[in-house]
Parts: sequence; C-alpha cells; structure tokens
Amino acid sequence: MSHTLVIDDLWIEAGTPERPQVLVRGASLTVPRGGVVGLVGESGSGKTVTCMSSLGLAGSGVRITRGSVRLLDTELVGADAATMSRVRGGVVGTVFQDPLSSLNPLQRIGTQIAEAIVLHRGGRAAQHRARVVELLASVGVPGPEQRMRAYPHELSGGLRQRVAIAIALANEPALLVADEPTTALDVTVQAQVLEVIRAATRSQERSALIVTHDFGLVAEIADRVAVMYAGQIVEEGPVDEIFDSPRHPYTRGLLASRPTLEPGRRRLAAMPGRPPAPGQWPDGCSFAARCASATPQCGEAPPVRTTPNGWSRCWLPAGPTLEVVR
Amino acid sequence: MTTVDARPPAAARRQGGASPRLSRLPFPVRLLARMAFTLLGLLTLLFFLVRLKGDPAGVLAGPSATPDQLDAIRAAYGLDRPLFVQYLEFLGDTARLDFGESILSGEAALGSVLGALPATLLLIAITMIVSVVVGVPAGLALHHGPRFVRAPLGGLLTLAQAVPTFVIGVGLISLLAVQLGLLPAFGSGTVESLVMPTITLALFPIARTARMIDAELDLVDEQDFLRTAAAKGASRRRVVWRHALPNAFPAVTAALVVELSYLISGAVVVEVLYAYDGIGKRLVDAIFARDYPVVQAAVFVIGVVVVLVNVFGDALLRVLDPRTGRAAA
Amino acid sequence: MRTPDLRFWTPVTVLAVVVTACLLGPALVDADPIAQDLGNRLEAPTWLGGNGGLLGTDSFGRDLLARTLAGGRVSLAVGFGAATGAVVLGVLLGLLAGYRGGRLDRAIMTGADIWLAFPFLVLALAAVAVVGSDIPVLIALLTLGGWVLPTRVTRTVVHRLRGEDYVVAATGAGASDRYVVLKHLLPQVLPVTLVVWSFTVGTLVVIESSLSFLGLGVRPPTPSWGNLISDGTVYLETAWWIIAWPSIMIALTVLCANTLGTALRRRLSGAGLDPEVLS
Repeated sequence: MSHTLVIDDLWIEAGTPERPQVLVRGASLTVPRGGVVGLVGESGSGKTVTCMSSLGLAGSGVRITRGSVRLLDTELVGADAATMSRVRGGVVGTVFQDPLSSLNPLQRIGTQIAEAIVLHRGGRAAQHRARVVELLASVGVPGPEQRMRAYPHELSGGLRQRVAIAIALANEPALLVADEPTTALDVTVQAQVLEVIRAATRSQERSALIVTHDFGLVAEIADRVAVMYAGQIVEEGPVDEIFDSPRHPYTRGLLASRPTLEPGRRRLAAMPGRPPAPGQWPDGCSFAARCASATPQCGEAPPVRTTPNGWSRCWLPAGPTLEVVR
Repeated sequence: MTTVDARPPAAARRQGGASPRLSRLPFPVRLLARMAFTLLGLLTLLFFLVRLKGDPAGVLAGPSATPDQLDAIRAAYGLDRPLFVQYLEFLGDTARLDFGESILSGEAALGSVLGALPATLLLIAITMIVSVVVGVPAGLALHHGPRFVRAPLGGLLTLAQAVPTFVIGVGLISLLAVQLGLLPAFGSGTVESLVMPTITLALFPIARTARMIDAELDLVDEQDFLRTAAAKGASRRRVVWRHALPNAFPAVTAALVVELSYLISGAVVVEVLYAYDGIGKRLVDAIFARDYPVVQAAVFVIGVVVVLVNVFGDALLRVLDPRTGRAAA
Repeated sequence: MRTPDLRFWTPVTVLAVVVTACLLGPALVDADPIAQDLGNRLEAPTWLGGNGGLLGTDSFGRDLLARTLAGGRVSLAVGFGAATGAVVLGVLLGLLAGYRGGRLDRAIMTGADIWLAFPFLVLALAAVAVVGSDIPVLIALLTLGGWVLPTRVTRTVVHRLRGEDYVVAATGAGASDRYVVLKHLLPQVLPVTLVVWSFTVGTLVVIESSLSFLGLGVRPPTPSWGNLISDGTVYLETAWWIIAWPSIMIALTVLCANTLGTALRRRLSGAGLDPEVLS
C-alpha cells in the first residue's frame, strides 16, 4: 500500500551557506492513504518549517539540504517550478494559520476560489461559478451565491478560514495540509472550523497533515500523531496509543501538562527548562537536560525504538511503559 | 446663483460641533463639502493677497495706471466699502465666473486663461500616463531585477529626484534641440512640441513611482496571501503580476493624486522654458505684466483642476481598494 | 572597529564644503561677482582653452566662479533659512495638534491636507506678483511652503507619545502642559525633526531656484543659482559652462540633502523611531 506523503530524513537549514542554521534534522513521517496525521510540537520545534518546506512554501532563506519528500509518486525535493505548480493546489491543498492575511484583500472570495480551479482545470473564472458555490456550501458558508461576492475583510474569522479551506479543497486534492488552522480563531469558532476539517478528511481518499500545538485538536481529528522536538520527530504512533501510553518522556510531559477539569486539584505539571534553540542542540538526546528519566547513556544519540504501530526516539526500553501520571 | 457653495454642507458647518454629524453624511456630500471648502479657502486667500500691500487698486490697475484710472478701479471694485461687503461681492462675482478684465487685453480674465487650459491638461495627462507606463516596470525592475540592473537604476532614479525639473529641461534642450536638432526647442500645438516638455516633466514622477512600487512591493512581499497564491499552484510570474502588483496600486494611485501638485508646478516651469502656451505660461506672463486679474483667474482655475482631480482620485481609490470604506475620512 | 557610516558622512562633508566655500566666497576668489568686464565676455574656463578664469565668464564678463559662490550664498541662505523657519513653524503646529487633539488637531490636519494638495509654486507666484521678491520676503514665503511635513510628523510622534505611560505619569504628578511638552515630548520630536529639515532644505532650494529661474525669485543683479541658469539658457550653444556650474551645485545640494535625510532616518529607525512616520 503506498502512502500519500512520505517525508524521509529531511534536513532543513536557514541562513547563509557560510553560516547555516539547522532548523530540522532528519525528520521522517508518513501520511497513509486516507489517514489524518497530527504533527505536534512547541513553537520553534520545526513543525511548520517541515511542512512548508516540503511544499516549497517556506520562503527564500530556507532550504532543504538532505532527504526526500514523496507525494504520491512525485518527488518534491529538487522538483522544478512547473512540477511544484502542478502539485500545489492540484494534489495538495494548503490552509494557513491567519485567514485574514492569507486571503488577497483586494479580490472577492469567489474570485480567489475560482482561481484555484482555473489554475488546474483551465477555463475562465465565470465558468466555474457553480463549483465555487458548491465548495462554499460544502464548507458551511451560508448563502454562498451572495457571499462569493464578498471581500475578505467583510467576513468573520471563522468564515474566512472556511473560505481558505474551500480554496484548498477546490481541486479535490489527495492531501490537505493545515498549519495551525484554528489557532487564530476564537474558541467558539474553532470547534466549527474543526468540524469542517473533519468532514473534509472523512473520505478515505483524502489524507491530511495537521500541524498544531493543540493536543485537543489532535485528539479530535487525527488518526496518527507525530511529536516534534528540537528539530526532530521524537515519537510517532496511533493517536490512542500516544494518548494512553506515550513512550517518549517529552510526549509524556506534554500530555501531563494539560490542565484538567478532573476533581482533586493538583498543581499544573510543567516541564522544567526550555527547548534548546536551533544551533544549540546538544549531542545525544536533545531532551535529556529536562528529562526525569535521563541516564548517562542519553549523552549519545538515542536509537529509534519501534513498536507494532509506531516508534520513539529514546533509550528507554520499548516494553511496558509507565502510565501517564495524572 | 451660488453654484460653488452647496447648501447642506454649509448648513452642517454652521451648526456647532458639526464634526460628528459631518462624518455621518453620505460620502459624496462630504466630498462636495471639502471641495467647496477648499475653493472657498483659495478665494479668500486671493482676496486678501491683493490687499496685502495696502492699496489694492494699485495692484489691480497695473503699475502704469494714472490717478484717474486708479479712481475708476476703486469705484468699479467698490474698494471704499467695508471689507466684508467687498468679500461677499468678490465671492458673488467669482460664482458668476466674473474675474474682471485683463489689464493688457481688456478681455475677460477668465476667458483668456481657460483658452490655454487644454494645452496644460494635455501635457499633464500625457506625463501621468508616461510616468505610470515607464515608472511601474522600472519599479518592478528595481525590485525583482538582477543586481547589475538594480544598482545603476537606483542611482539614476535618485539623481532624477534630486535634479530640479528646469535643469533637466535645459539639458534636454541643449542635447536634443541644439546639438542634435531632433526636436523643436519651443512652441506648442504640434506633437513634436509636446515631446520634450513631457520628458522633462515626467522624469521626477517616473523616479517617484518606481521607488514607490519598489517600496510597496517590499510591504506586499511579506504578505501571506502571496504564499496562498503559490499554494494554489500559481506560477511565480502570476503571483507577481496578478497578486503582488495590484496590491501596490492603491498606494500608487494615492501618490499620483498627490503628484498632481508637483506636476502643475512643474508644468508652469516647463511651459515657460519651452514657450509652450499653457495656463502656466499665461500665469507667468501675467505676473510680469502686472496683470493681476488674469493672475487671479489662473490661480483659481488651477485650484478647480486640483480639487476635481482629488475628488476623482478619492473615488478611484475606493474602487481599487475595497477596504477604504470605513477607514477614509 | 566601527566603519564610519559613509551614507551619513559623505553628504554632510560635501554640504559642509559647499556651504563653507560659498560663505568664504569673497575671501577665496578675488573676482567681483557683479563687476562686468565686457571685453571678456563668454570666455571659456582656462582648462578648456579659454581665458575666463577657473569657471569661465558670462555674457557680461563676470567671473563665474565668483558668481556661483555668491549665488550659493543667496540660494543656501534662502534654502536653509526657510527650511529652518518651516520646521520651527511645523513643530509648533504639530505640538499643538498632537498634544491638544480634538478639534484643533482636526482643523490643523485638514488645513495641512488642503495646503498640500495645492501646488505651492502657483501660490508663491501669485504672492510674488503682489509683494515682490526681496530675499526676506522669499524666505518668509518659502517657510509657508514647507510647514506641512514637519507638522504632520511632529503631530504623529506627539500623538503616539501622549499615550505613553511616562507622559501620563508626568501629568498625573502635576506637571504643567508646557513642562510635559518641553521636557518629555520635545526631545523625542527633535531627532525626527532633523530628518524632516534635511529633506525640506532640498525641496526649498529647488523651489527657490525655480522661482529665480522664472525671473520671479531673486532678482538680478543679485546672483542666485536659479537666475544664473536662466541667464545661461540663451547661450547654451556657445557658452554651455554658464549653466553647468549652478546646475551641478543645485543637484549636488539636493542630492546631499536627500541622502543625509535618508541616512538620518535609517539611524533613527535603529533607535526605535518609526520611519514610516516619515513616508
């Protein structure tokens, strides 16, 4: 069975070639057909860069130095501009964090959605009117025939993000990539937009890669989770397993630090220290300095311990694990 | 009779604390109010300008006026009456488009000025077009071009913004008319006579426009919606031409409207330099001839042109940038 | 090792040289800018083969080096003087508008908008038609030509600073308006004012030379760069050097003023003063 997206040993750096700053080292993850993968991590972990660089959307100062990104049967690293233009919008649809700044303020939203279609199916914007209305309806925008003439600043944040999702889905892409899709929205609106994303990913034909720092989001819609720390993916596995029995101490710490409404008030468990900045990653395990279970062995780069459905990058044995202490 | 003063805005102005109420009036009414207010201010300025040096009769009658002529002028303009009465009469006259007669020719001051207006408008319009047609690609080249283009282009533009218009004009005459004999050094009415004035006048706006496009593109470059366009599958060219550039246009339009005041000033100088018979040349000729009624008429006509262009520019901005609704005054 | 900021020091140095040369004019050159020598008309500069001194002579045989320097004295005096006046006036109005706010602010700003829309040269011409163009009058007139930018900039800065905690605290501690303005606001406004002054010098020098070129600014025989150029226009073919030197001087001065302004602005933005204020 071939996966939708396979990122293999991706290394990304920024800065000048003389003074490079490594942002991502050896990231690997797979998005299976029809699967939804949540990529979680703190800010600075490299999760957004991984995502955006894979699609060539990371900006001019950032470059991939090693590794491969395979989308269906197309290799994206080193692909030419024509290939990228074909893939982007056609095979993969992208949703960004801030819908106000990611929509063109001078164009009506109908035009912007139509452009996505025109770029891949040809024709003129007017010809795709019906499809635009259909797309708007499918993401839950009320009164689509009238709304399509609106400008982005005339819509609420939630509506704007739905429009962004409509744009991403315009050409029935095999992969939906969303970078913090609900972070910029009001809490009440987040749930609604989440629903839209969930509906979009329900189909077995569509996979999704959701980048977020919000575990709640992941719990709601992801099948698999990849946890990123200090430029590396430190754990990957099915969402149930990760939540019930996380293997990597960092994952455990993240889950334990979520505030809970359960009775029995206790102090918020926080992880001491901070993640190392890019360029200041220690040899060996980058989490060792903050890890309660660290041993001298952690001074060496930890191996990948696999489990039936996932893996983690840790010296701790992959056998029965500690329950998450709540 | 009063075509200049629209009634509703005047009424709103007279009410105390009118500002909040003023901003709730519909946009076209507010625009007209600003127009009227500006022209009123200009006329008031002109009214008091003549009286700056004491006896307006001397100014209005010309330097070679005899005492009898001075008395006649005083009577004709009612200069012995109270100031406020004179002011109202003056406003009434201008509303009727009566600016007096030219001291030189005796014909209506306004008429002799309006005749030269089309030539100036033509010069300015063509210059604006040229400044956009040349300035926008220059700005693009400045922004996206290769390094060996950007540096000298930037230097050239800085120079164009520093050298005064007439210096460029003189240089051009020297080169194209005198040395090479390609174009006429003066005159108006023919296509060739427009070329050098246009080039002279356009250099500064071209430089300004190019720099502005460059700066706007800098701002726009940061914008996320360009990334969205790329994510949709748009080619780099499409992103620049269809998304980045149009977003720079509102700023360019606003700047062009502001540019108008430079263009008019420049046109005055250029017209005198090239003996191009436009309103600027008439103005300067009238000043030398101490023909104040014509000076007054010319200044007023220019004022009307400025006001109209500003109104048009504001309207155009609202079309180009749908966000201007709430933010605009 | 800190490399000197060339973008700042080059224009400053060049301007200083120009100003000094013009001020010291009579001491440097022993020719009289006004004395005519009709036997020596339209002579080319010595390095071009003629015998007209360093920069040649004009149609009345007057030495062009002396005239250029003398013209510079006038043009720079008017330019610097008017720019200073405009900035002083502008800062005053800007402080009023920014600090008092409300209707005064709106009135001043609307006035500024309307004034800016109108081509100043036209108004200046009309004014000259009535009041003439003696140098003090010119300076006063050009001051009116440049007050808008300093007003706007000052007002924006004051507006922003007015809400800052230390300003509010000062007022809360009982400081009078004048104290707050002088002690707290003005020091912050001054650096930006310097940038504006720089650009304004460039603008006003151009306006003065335009007026003089048209014959409606500085009147002959007093030389100014503008009327020197106008003198030389007729002799383009035969004695091009007459217009060359004043043209170069004007261009140089304006270029330096603009470059200096840009360099100052860059320095200020490093210190946290918003350069967008000055666009």
